[in-house]
Amino acid sequence: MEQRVLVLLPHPDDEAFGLSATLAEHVRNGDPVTYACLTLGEMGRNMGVPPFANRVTLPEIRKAELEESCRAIGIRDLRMLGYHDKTIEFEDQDKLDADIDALLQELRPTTVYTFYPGYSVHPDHDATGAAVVRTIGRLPRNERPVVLCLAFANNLEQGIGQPDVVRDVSANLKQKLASIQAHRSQFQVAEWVSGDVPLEKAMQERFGTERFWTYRFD
Amino acid sequence: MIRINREQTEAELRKFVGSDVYVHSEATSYVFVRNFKVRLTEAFVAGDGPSYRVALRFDGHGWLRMEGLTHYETDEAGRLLLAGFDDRGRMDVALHLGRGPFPE
Ligand SMILES: [Zn+2]
Repeated sequence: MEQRVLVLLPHPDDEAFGLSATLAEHVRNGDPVTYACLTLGEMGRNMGVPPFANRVTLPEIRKAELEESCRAIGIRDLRMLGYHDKTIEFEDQDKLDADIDALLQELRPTTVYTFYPGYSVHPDHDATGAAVVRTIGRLPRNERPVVLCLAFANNLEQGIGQPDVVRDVSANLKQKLASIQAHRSQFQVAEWVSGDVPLEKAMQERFGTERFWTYRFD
Repeated sequence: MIRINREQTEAELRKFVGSDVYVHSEATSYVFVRNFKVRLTEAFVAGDGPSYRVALRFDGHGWLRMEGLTHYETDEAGRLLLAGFDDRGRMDVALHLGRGPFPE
């Protein structure tokens, strides 16, 4: 059965490590995938090595990187919601929820990917996840999509336990690598390849699995 | 100074909303700005402690956001002084708000 997929994440590059291969698999299955990225990561600290961006040019550069990442994954519907990096938790919740709700109404996703609120380290991640589950929680129970969350806090185990969706994504590592490489202002792929370990083997070991926690609404 | 209490400190900050305020803001090892004057429109304190994030919106288009704030006090001149200290008591960051300029 076709799934309709909506991805809601705050920063360009949030997709790359956590779920780009999963998204590539959705694309391969013919599932429509929409990626709504809340900010342009304009407050990022990495400017490339050696630095080729600056605080002024970073938003445009990261926007282009995000578009390239989406092409690599096969995502054709990319929405940039225009929020400012590092401020999601301070945004007007009603406005944020309304933006998310509008996407839900328009796209009627069956699966939503976001960050697990409270377990995703960065305040923008937690605030995005919180807004997504708050908005979806308002839908009638039988209209709620499945919400699959990324999480990577230290206290995961006692908080939300083990991920219940664990996918071997070896078949889509090519797209994943291309997604990561697209964000060249943020990641230096060359640094992960130590000595004579080939890139593909290093990728398989580090990124061959993607993990999600299904959000339970009650 | 006393430890930040999220609600109380936010309430203190919000007393400045709607008025012109002079701001002193610093990341101690790197930069300070003193006495920039803005009209504050919103003020927030976030986090679970012991260190907190503070964000101010001003003049309809401005943001000031700081991390690592741990302590605060209101001084006898009615200025709100926030600061962030490391575990050895050294100040890393400071954010001060007053209705008049801070001494140059
Ligand atoms: Zn992020």
